[in-house]
Amino acid sequence: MGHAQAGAVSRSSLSKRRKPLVQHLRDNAGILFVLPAVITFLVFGLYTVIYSIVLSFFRWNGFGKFSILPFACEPPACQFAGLDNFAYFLYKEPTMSGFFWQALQHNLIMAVVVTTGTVLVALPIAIALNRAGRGQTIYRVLIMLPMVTAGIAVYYVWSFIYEPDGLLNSVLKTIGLGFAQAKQGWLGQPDTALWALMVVMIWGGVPLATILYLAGLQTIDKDLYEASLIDGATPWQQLWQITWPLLLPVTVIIIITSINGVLQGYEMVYLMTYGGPAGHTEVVGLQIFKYGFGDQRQLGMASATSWALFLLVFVVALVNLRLFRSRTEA
Amino acid sequence: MNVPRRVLGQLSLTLLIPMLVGACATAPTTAPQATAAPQANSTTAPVKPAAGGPELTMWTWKVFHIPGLEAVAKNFEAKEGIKIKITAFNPDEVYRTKITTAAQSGDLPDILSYWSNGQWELAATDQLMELTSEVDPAWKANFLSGTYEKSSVMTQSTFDTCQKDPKCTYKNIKVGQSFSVPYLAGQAFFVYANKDILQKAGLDPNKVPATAEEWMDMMKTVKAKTGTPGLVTGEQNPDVLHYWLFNPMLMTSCGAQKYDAIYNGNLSFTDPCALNVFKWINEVQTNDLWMPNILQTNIDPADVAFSQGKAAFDIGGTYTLGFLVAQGMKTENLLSFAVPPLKGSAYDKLQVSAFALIDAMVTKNSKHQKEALSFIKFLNTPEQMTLFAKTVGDFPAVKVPLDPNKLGPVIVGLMSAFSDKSPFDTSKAQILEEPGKVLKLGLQQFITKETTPDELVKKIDAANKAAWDAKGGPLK
Repeated sequence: MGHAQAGAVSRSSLSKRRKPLVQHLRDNAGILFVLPAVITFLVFGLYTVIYSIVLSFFRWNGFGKFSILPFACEPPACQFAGLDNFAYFLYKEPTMSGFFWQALQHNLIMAVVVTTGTVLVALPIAIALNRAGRGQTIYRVLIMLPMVTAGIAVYYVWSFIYEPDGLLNSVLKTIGLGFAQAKQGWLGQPDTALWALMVVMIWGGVPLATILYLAGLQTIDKDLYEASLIDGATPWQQLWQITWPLLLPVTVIIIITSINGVLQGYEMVYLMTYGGPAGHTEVVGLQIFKYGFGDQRQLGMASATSWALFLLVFVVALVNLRLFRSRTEA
Repeated sequence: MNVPRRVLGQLSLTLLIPMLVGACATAPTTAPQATAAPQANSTTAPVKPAAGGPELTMWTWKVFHIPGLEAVAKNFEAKEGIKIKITAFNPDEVYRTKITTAAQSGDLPDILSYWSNGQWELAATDQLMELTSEVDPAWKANFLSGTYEKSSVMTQSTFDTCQKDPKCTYKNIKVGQSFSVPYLAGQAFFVYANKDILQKAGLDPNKVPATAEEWMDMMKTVKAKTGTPGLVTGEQNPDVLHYWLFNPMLMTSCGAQKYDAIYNGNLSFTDPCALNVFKWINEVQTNDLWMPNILQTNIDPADVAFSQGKAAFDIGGTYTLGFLVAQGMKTENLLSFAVPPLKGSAYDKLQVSAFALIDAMVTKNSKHQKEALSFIKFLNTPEQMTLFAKTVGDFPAVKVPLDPNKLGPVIVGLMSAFSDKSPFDTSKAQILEEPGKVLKLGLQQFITKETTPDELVKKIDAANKAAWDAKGGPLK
């Protein structure tokens, strides 16, 4: 091989080394397009999730060093706690675990009542709206109002309604049901506070459920109803034999989103009762908030409790999916 | 996939521009620390352009303290040529989060306001400048008794408790070390009465009840004669009944030694001196004397309700008076007294002294530590504390001349009611978190009728024993 030939090879290999980069970028331009999303997920999604898992095994007050990349945990502000955080709120510390299980009980009651209530209220409204001729748009707008109204304003209005001299007690007195009034206010009495909150939750959850049901109803073939009428089906039979089974996939979505929202949410409880009276509306989400942002700043404990809540939500969602899948497939 | 060069160029620009803009935005001149929290409800005092001297930053969570701090900062600037920019972040949770994240990123301000006794966690992680040798005897002499030496200096008892507690995060702080100075003081344990309502009920509006039993009788009379509920306070906050009513009554009923022994795990809450206090608080409910919806009533709404005549008595603190006046109550319509003791108590009157509420501290990451220290020293001078107190209507942590013309009659009246010594000044009681929670919840459960005094004392004893056992035994 002569010099000239060697030089040509070397230039050629250089251009080959340069070309593939441009070519590579051209061929894989798609990667560049998804890169921002991937980076965002890695930084704000995956990293924070892993951070939170690791943190749940530590005791850390937010000051001092704690990081996972590179790993750092500087005592005394940060200490390895092993499974202590989980043990404390699950069983080891009677007061703390007592509060946790009580809060979880409230969450579960809310999940069942709010979800059932939402479905029971939203479905008839959606059916009525579906049959409404004139003014359907106005009705839809009206039904959507609770969903688009700022939460904080809504919660304060409801708090005023529930006060001892609020609207609800006044109405009860006016219609001769004074004996049913809540003397300490509907949010101030242990026997009514949780139920009063659940009414607001149902009120807030119905609009979305109604819209979803309405969309579902509009996909049902009208011929099915006409055929059933010819067979002599009553409206009740039509509801149970046609509408309800065909809306089951929509119901599954409503149930899962409602349960998720109820189990994870805390802002309404925070604004309306702060867990009171005497812990009767305490929920796990609010406890996590208090651990993380209260005067104790037990961030490890907040993470551990969050993961316990995540597991619960995950299992409940899985069970729901399995349960309803078998029914919809059947 | 074949992508034209033009598209690749545009894509590269799209990625590069935000990076460049981001890089510019992080320059300190364009992104001052104080405005870097868009989520927080922040209020910033306007600052004139710098005229040579450094500009320091100070954070607080008390929005209504800004005018007072600003007034002092203005005087400081006139004297030293150093500007202080004061910013408030509220509510409390936002402020705590702001400080936590700023501590992580090294963006703390030069001067920080923080809850008295809460500074240890910041100090333990090397966020604060040590002030132990900076606070000289002349500076120390300015402070009201029971403020600086009680909460700004690491005491032996706080140190001992921390060392025993596996969860304590400031074990590296030594006895005698100091990292902050108080500038706001005050005390709970005050009861305010609405004289108009007392008069309508046929009671002497100027007669202060000598005992808790007398106070209860007054509330019963008011309820019977006027239908107005007897008592209101911010009970939605579980700390209120515990710290503002139970503790002062327990102190007078049991005396300082027993008070300490009970909380420190050496004596039971079933002791009659403690049990009688629980019984008295329970009787407020059994006599139906609380304002309706009391468990849903927080501190400010409680004071508002009292100012509107919805209850005859309001439990609060020195800080309550200014709020009541701001709500339109006239001081001549108010009767105030310290929480009265039960009959047969160890003390026949509760001596109330000032307690530090808010401390100022200099952060380690400040580039102007000397100037920041100079400002907090200036803030602590009697003249500036007088100005601050008069501007914000709150109680200074240093001794100031009791001149109504300079301080206003309200603050002077309150300061005159203070004693030099209170049993709480020397108390070594450590109220642990878990039994504290049981106690607070139990006091609320009296109102919901879910527990009785006899049941509650047993529950608190069990929680207190478990908590002290976890720390290696009761505090001796």
